Amino acid sequence: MRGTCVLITVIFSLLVLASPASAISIFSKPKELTWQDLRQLNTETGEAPPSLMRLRGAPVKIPGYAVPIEGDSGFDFVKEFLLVPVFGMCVHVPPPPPNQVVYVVMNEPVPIEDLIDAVWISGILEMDSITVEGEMVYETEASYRIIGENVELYE
Amino acid sequence: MGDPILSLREVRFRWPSQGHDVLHLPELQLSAGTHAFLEGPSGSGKSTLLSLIGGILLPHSGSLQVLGQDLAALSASQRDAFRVAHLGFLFQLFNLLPYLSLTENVVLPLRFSRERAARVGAASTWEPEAERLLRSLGLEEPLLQQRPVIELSVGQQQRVAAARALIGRPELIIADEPTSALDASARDGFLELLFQECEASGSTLVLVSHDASLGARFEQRWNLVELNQASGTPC
Amino acid sequence: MLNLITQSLWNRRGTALLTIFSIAVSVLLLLGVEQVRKSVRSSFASAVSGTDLIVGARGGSLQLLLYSVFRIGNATNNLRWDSYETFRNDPRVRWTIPFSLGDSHRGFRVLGTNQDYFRHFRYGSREPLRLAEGVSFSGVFDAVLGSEVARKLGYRLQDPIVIAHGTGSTSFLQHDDRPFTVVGILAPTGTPVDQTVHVSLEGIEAMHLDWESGAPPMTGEGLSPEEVLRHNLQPQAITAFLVGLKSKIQAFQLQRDVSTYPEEPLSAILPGVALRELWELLRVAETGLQVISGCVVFAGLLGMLTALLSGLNERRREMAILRSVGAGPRTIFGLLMGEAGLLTLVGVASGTVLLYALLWVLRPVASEQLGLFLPLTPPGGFEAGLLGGIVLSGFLMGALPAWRAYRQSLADGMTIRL
Repeated sequence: MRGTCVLITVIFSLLVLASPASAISIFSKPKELTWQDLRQLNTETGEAPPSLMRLRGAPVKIPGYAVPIEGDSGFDFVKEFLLVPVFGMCVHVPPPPPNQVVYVVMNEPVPIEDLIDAVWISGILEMDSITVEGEMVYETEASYRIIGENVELYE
Repeated sequence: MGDPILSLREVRFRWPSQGHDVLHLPELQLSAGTHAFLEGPSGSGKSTLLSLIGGILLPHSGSLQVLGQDLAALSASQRDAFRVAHLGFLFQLFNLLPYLSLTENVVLPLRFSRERAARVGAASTWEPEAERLLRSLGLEEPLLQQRPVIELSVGQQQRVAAARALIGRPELIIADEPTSALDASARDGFLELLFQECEASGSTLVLVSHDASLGARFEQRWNLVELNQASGTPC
Repeated sequence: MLNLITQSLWNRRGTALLTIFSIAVSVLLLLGVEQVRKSVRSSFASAVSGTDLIVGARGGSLQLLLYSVFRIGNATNNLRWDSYETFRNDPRVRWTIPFSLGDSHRGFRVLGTNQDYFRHFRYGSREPLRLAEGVSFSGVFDAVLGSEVARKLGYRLQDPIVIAHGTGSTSFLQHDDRPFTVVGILAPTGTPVDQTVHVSLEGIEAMHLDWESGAPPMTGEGLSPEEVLRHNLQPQAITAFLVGLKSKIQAFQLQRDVSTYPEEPLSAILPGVALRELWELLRVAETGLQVISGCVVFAGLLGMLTALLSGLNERRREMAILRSVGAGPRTIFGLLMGEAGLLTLVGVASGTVLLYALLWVLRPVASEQLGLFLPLTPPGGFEAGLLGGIVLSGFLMGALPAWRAYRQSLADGMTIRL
C-alpha cells in the first residue's frame, strides 16, 4: 500500500518534471550568474569573455531587485521590468552602468507582490546591441535582456 | 386477539438528577387491535410513559417491547426510524406545520420513513391517499385546498393531525389529549372518526386523557395512578 | 429536506429576506471595494503604456505622474523649451511627446502637444490612439477631442469651441476671441485621453499671445486670428514630456541625467516605479476598506446567527412536530445548518448580482464624473475564494443554532412546550 503510494508519487513527479515548462530545468540546469559575472561585458565594444558569450540563448538564473516598467491589467501584474543589484534608486551614487541592469520581459505577467523583495529570475539570456544612428556613438552599446520564465523569492 | 403490540415488564424510569423512580410499571400488555385508554392526572407519569413507548426515553430497568421489539436494544437513530415506521402521533394542539399545505402536512411521515411510505405506494399515490384520509375524517373539498392550515378551526386541525398519524397504517397510534381543546360535540364526533379509521387501517390506539368520561368507549382502561408503583411523590 | 428548508424559510420570509439582504449588502460592499480597487488600478495603469520616462519640473514623482498622465492636480512649474530640445535630441531617446497643460474647455482639460502624440502615445496594452472621425490637428486653431468630451458636449466635426484659461469648469476669462475648430474625434480609450481636448503647442501659444499682464486684452483691442498667425508661435515652455528610449536599459542613466541637468531643475520618473509608489500609498486606504468591508460581512453573518438563534425558541414546536413525524435529531441539525447555508448562499449570490447591476448602472456616471473606467469583469479567483469562504463560514455558523436545536429536540422529545 505504502509502496504504491510512493511509486505513484514518483511517477507523478516525473510527469510534472517532464512537462515542457520545466524542460529547461531538467535537461540543462540554468546557470546561476552573479552581478560580477555580468560586469565582464564591455558595453562599448560589446565584447565579453567566451564563458559569458557562450551563455547567449542559454537558460540562466540571476538574483536582484525588480523595477517595474510595463504592467498588465493595472500593474497588479508586471510584464516587463529592469533587474538591478541594489534596491531603490539611490540619488547619491551614479546610476548602475548598463551591464549592471538586465531588461526582463516575462513570458507570462507576474503578480507585482512577487517582485517587492529580492528575487531570482530565470530565463533565456540575450545580449542586445543598440544601434545608434548618426555619428555620436553613445557609450552604452551592449546590454542584457532575459526572456523571463520564472520568478522566485530570493532566500 | 393478536400478538401483544405493547409489552412492559418491571419498567422503571428515573431522571438522572433524581434519586427515585418516577415510574414503575410491574406489568402492562396491549394486544393488537385493542383500543386502550390511559387516564391519570397530570404528573402521574403519562408523558414519561409515552416518551418511553416512543423510544425518546429509555427505561432505567425492566423490559419494554413495542411490536415485539426491545427498544433498548436499538440505537438512537434506529429508534427514530422505528418510531416513524410503526407509530403515529397525535398531540393536544398545534400539530401542524404552518408553512405546509394540508396534504403536505399529512404526508410528512412518509418523507421520513421508507418503510411507512412503502405501505402507501409510489410517491405519486401519497397525495390521493392523504386526501382520501382527510375526506373520510370529514374534511371536504374546499378545505382541502386551503393553504394556511392555521386558519382551520382547532377541530379541523386535529383531523388533519389524525390523518397524518394514520397515513401509512402504522401499527400503533398514540394520541395525547387529542380532544382536550375541543367542545363536547366536536370531541365525540372526532373520537368516532378516529375509532373508525383505526379500525380501517388495523391500527391499535392508545389514547391519553385526564377526562375519565371518555374511558367508557374503550376496551381497555389503564389508570396510571393505580398502575404506577413508583414510591416517589408525584410532582 | 431542501424543500422543507425553503418552505420553512418562506414561512418566515420577513426575517429571512432581511437576513439575506444584510448579507447581500455586505457582500456587495466587499466585492465593490475589490472591484473599484482593481478598476482604479487598471484605470491608472492603462493610462500610460510603453512610456519609459516622464520628465517635468523638479517636484515629487507622484505629483508629476498625476498631473501629466492622469490630469489630476497641476504642475507647479513649466520647463523651458530648450531643455526639452536637449533631451529630445539625445541619442538614447527614440521619441518624445511634449505636454502643455493648464487650460480647460468646459471642465475638460486642454492638452497642447504635437504630432508625436498621435504617433507614439500608447495606452492599455500598448495600443495606439485611433481617430474615430476626422483628422489630427494641423492648423494652429485645430482641436482633436477625446471621445467623452465629444459625447458629453455633443460636439461634431467643424464645431467651434472656446478655450478658457485655468482649469475650472467655469472660467470667467475666456479666450473667445480666438475660437478653435474641431477637426478630429478620438476613439474611446477608457483613459484620461477621453476627457481631454487636444490642440497644438502653437495653439496654446496663440491663445495666450497678448495676455501680457496676465489678463486678456480688452474687447476689441485683441489681435485677430489672422494677426496671431503672423506672430512667432514657437512655444517657450512646456509642462512635461514623455520619453520613449531606444533601450530600456538606459532608463536609469537618462533619469540621472535629467535630474542633474545643470540648466534647470528637472525631475524624471519611471512610470512603473511611480505607480508602485502610488499603490503603496493607496494600499493603506485599500487595506482599511477591505478590513472594514470584511467586518461588515462578519456583522451580516452575525446578524443571521442572531436571527436564527432567537427564532429557535419560537420554532421549538416546529422541531417537535418534525421529530414526531420521524425526523431524527440529526435531521434537525442538518435542517438548521442547511438553513444558514442557504441564507448565506442566496445572500452572496444576490449581493454579487446586485454589484454587477450597480456597476452596470454606475459605469457611465463613473466614467463621466470620475474618469474611472469600470470594467464588468467576472469575479476572479480571489473573489471566488472570498465568496466561497463567506458561504462556508455562514454554513459553519449554522452549526451553533443547529447544535442548540439538536440539544433542544433531544431534551424536548416530542412533547410540545409552549
